[in-house]
Amino acid sequence: MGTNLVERPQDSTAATTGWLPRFVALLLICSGVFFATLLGIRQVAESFGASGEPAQVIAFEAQIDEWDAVALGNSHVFRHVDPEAIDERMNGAGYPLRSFNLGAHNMSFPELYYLVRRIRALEPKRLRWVLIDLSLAWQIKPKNFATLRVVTWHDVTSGVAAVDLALNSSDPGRLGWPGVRGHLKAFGERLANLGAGVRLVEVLSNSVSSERLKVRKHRGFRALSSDSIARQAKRHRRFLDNLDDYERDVAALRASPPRSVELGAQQRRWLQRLVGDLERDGMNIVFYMAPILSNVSWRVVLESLDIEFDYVGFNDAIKYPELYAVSNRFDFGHLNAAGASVFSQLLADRLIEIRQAGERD
Amino acid sequence: MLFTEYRFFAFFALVFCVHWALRSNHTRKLWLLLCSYCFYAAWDWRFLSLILISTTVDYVAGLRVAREQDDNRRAWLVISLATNLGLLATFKYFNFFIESAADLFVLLGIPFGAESLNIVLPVGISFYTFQTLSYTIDIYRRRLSPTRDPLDLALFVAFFPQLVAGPIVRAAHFLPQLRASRQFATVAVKPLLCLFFLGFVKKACVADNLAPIVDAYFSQPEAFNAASAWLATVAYAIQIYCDFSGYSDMAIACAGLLGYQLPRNFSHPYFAGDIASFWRRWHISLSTWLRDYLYVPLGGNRGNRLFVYRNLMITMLLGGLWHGAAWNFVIWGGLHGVALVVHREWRSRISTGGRDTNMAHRFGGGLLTFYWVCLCWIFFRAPDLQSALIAARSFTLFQSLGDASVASPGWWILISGLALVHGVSRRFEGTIALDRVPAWLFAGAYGACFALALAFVPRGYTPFIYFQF
Repeated sequence: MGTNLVERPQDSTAATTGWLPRFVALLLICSGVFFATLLGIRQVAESFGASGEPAQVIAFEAQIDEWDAVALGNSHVFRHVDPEAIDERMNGAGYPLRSFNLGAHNMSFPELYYLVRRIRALEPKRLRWVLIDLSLAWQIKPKNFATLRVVTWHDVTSGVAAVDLALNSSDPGRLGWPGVRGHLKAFGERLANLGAGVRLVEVLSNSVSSERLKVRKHRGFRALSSDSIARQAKRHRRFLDNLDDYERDVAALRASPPRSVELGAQQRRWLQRLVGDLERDGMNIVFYMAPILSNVSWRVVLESLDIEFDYVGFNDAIKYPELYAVSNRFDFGHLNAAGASVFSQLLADRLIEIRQAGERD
Repeated sequence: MLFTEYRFFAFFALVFCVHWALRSNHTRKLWLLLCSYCFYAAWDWRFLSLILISTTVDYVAGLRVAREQDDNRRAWLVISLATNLGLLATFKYFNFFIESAADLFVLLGIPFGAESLNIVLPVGISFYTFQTLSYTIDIYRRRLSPTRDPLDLALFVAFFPQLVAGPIVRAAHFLPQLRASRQFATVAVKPLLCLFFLGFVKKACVADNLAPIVDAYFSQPEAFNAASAWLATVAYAIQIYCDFSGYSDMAIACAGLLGYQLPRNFSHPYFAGDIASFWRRWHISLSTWLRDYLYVPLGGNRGNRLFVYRNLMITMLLGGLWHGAAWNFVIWGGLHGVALVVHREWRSRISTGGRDTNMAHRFGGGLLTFYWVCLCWIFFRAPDLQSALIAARSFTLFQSLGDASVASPGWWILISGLALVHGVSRRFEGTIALDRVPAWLFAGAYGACFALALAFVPRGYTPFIYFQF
């Protein structure tokens, strides 16, 4: 093929002048069809649940009109918010609720914003409560650029948010230009639907359905002690081996007053956009801080944004001592199954208070 | 920079546009040389110095070999060979020789103190070394006139489409192309774009999707059952073919779009009816190079049978060693050498000597050839000799050494489908009249096909297998 492919007899049409407009026109046709096909493939992949979205998101969206509340955030949501416990408590108080946990490990703000926009686009009929754990990071961890989940949320808006935040000069943990490069690569991968065809084959051959069923059953929640993987067990052992350090950290938390979080201009702008979007849809937003070993508070910042919100700081070891009891902890940063149950009930209690306050007003 | 990466597409678009926008042939060659050096420097700019040394020495040696007489000619040839093979030996084989010598001395109970060096293998060194060798040897044999333009020689050595993994181009084939100005009107754009796309699909959609099961099996062959050994071995045969021939297709297409012709490197090797035919179809530019610069000088087919077999074995063993500095590759070459000897012997004793027209014989020969080639691939792919022997045992004796399995029916269906597509495409090769397709329709279809192909590209790029050689 190589010998006869390269050269062909010179013909008059090929040698015509004005090749540039012709070349540009053909390039435009090629690019136009290319991008149109990419969009078409995305639609097909989405409709079959093969776009690479996590099983949690697919399970949530499959029953989008069943949910009244959704919890969003990092592993402090994924591991702590038990939708069944919340619903049970709410039902008992006479406020029927069906909630879902959309938390995920290492969720960063741009991913949270992507999920919020994705949920809004589906125009859920019943969804009125959005619980957001503010212990999430503004930047993604560089190692996570390699994951498929990071690729899935890199649409134009979240990609721009991620790049903007990566260059945020007031954030000491900003990723800078290497981060911008990573975000652009992820954006390109999403645009190109890399691997969507293979995933579609997997979905059609039913090789991923069992995982999705499992997620649907637990409504996105997985308590830490139910994990049997060695890495988790090691983390728990390290916690038990260093209980003195833990007790010291908790004592320090008790002794120190809340410290207001500081936001840069970009962070403030994106947060305001997120909240504005949710408010426009008539959602009730409940911000909270997970029971972590840090005394940061978002109250002052949120008040300065001129928005309607409810805020609970669960990182208060004096007010919520049960959340810091060793028997309820899995490691320095997370609760175990028992702790998650306690936490979920406290969260539900707060929702009940809000509902009751609303009724009084 | 891989041919399947976004940045290569951007790089090539720039090279292509500027190349054809320039008017003089000299400026175009200068531009291509600059781009070729940038392409190579994207891996490691330090190793550009090796290319420059090789080019400079061969430029001077080429002129002197042509000008000098007798002993002086030979001396300049030796200088060229010593430089090129010296660089190759140092960067590719030094540690192999040292470690093998150490093992031998330990076996003999003699203390041996030399230590291996921390050497990085320069990408493509085996390929461009063979190209430069062919240049001076051909001048020495008076089959080629040396080029007086250093730019031509530099571009012949470093031309980026074939620099890092071939095809191995002969100076006699490429230098005349550099002398004449290239005309865009003579470039068959549509077939070349199709060839590039075909290469992309082979590499990114087929080879890279097969890589995970192959890697899983060969990382721990003792843990898998016999079906997995078969699946992984056949999958590797397909992977390496699609990987390397895909690269060659893309290289030929890129060169062609710039107006240069590279030799064909593959011709449906797995449809070969015998092992000799396989080697006329697999990595053609290497096998013909070994034939012309090693096998023939060793004596080739002249002399008695044993002498010819010796030549065959030496050629194949060194061919194996060319692929990598490890005993696995030597054994791979040796197994192919044995097969070639057996085939030659069988042909001289049993065969009528003419072309075998019996369908059953051809089919049986094809299956046997494929089986042997697959067995040989085990030694090529396995990380060490011990793993290779375990996998070969499982493959040949159907022995399940473990319970783990990668062999789901889906993979066999996929592999059968690929074989079918490959066979059908062979029938229709060259029969599709692309010139009759309107340009706008071709452009649209090309965009759609590329978008579709991307959906089958796994995330995370896998380097081309032959880059390591």
